[in-house]
Amino acid sequence: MTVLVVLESVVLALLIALVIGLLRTHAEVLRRLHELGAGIYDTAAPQTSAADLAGRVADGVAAPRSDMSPRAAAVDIAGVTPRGSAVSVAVGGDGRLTLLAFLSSGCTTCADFWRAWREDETLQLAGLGQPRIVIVTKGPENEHLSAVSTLAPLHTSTVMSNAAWSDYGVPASPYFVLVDGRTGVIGEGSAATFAQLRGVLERALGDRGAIDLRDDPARVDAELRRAGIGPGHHSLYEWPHGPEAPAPDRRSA
Amino acid sequence: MADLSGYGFAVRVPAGWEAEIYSRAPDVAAYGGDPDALHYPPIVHLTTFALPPERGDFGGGALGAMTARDVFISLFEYQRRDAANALFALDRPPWPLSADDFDPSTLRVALPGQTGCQRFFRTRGRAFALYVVLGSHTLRRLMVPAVNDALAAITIT
Repeated sequence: MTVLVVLESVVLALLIALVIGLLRTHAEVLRRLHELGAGIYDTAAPQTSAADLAGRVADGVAAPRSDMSPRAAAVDIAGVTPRGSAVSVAVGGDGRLTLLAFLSSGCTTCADFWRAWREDETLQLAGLGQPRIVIVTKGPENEHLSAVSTLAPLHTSTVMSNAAWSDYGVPASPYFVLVDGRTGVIGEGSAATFAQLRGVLERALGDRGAIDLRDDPARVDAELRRAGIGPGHHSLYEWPHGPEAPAPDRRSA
Repeated sequence: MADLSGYGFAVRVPAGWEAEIYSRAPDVAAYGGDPDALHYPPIVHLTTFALPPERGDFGGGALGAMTARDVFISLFEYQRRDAANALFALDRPPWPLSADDFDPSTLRVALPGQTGCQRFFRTRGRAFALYVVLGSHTLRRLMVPAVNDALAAITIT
């Protein structure tokens, strides 16, 4: 009888310890949810700032910039190539869609992106097609030139430029900025893998809505006037090969 | 607007254009191991379209991507001793160009619709070939002012 009572007491003590453990775990979950702004008793809108998010990104992924002010302008990239040439890459201008991939030779997370572009993996964005990829590292004074030269893909432009990192306010690598040549920066952020990058960019495009990439008739007219070409100019009626096309009055006759 | 310099060139790249100033890496083995026999020509490329990293000095591998409104410019330097040759008799840069300077038969590789202009000249004791390709012969009058703006942005030092 005494043995039975002792056994029951031990089992009871174990159950009590188990319940206490579960309650503590539950409390910890609630506390973490509250910190994330998703607490079950929260009624106010979550007040999440970039600084709050900074500590929550996955290892190896750059935290967002603390300054989240919009940066509309497309800035061209000037620097040197890994083989030492002076180079300028146009980012601004009608019809241009550029993904600037800010990478470094030393960051572990960047390795998947270097590999993907060395293997010519494509980045097809729904509704906008394939942006031009430009890999941007820090300048030779802040990077290992030989390492970048080894990593740089054969068919993707790679530019080494400190100014570009500064112009686009890049917080760390890897970091990606999608730029429409006419409207400016569409979206930006970091990603841990190449596959994740596609999702991040498509969400950015979805948030921004469709982009009008059509030509601007006023700009075309101004360009024609600058070249001395106005309505009725004979060059407008030339065929690409062979004799000139008939003038409009004769054509309509 | 970016300023580039190197190999005795300075380029103030016009807005919307791309540029690269480069020289080919030496290939000693191809010349029987005699480094003195090698010439590594400095080259300037200016384009209105995305310059692919791998391309020929006169645009091979890149010109097929041009649209009708695109321009490709190559300024290719020969050896200094070539400046004495009759081919380089013109003693100044040949720009500004006119629409009449362009002819599809000038193209090194004829692509439909495209037209080209090639001029040899010398300046400052250096010998050059200027090679310009327009995406459309029909639109050459429209495009030549922009070509001349880009050429005027090149300084040979």
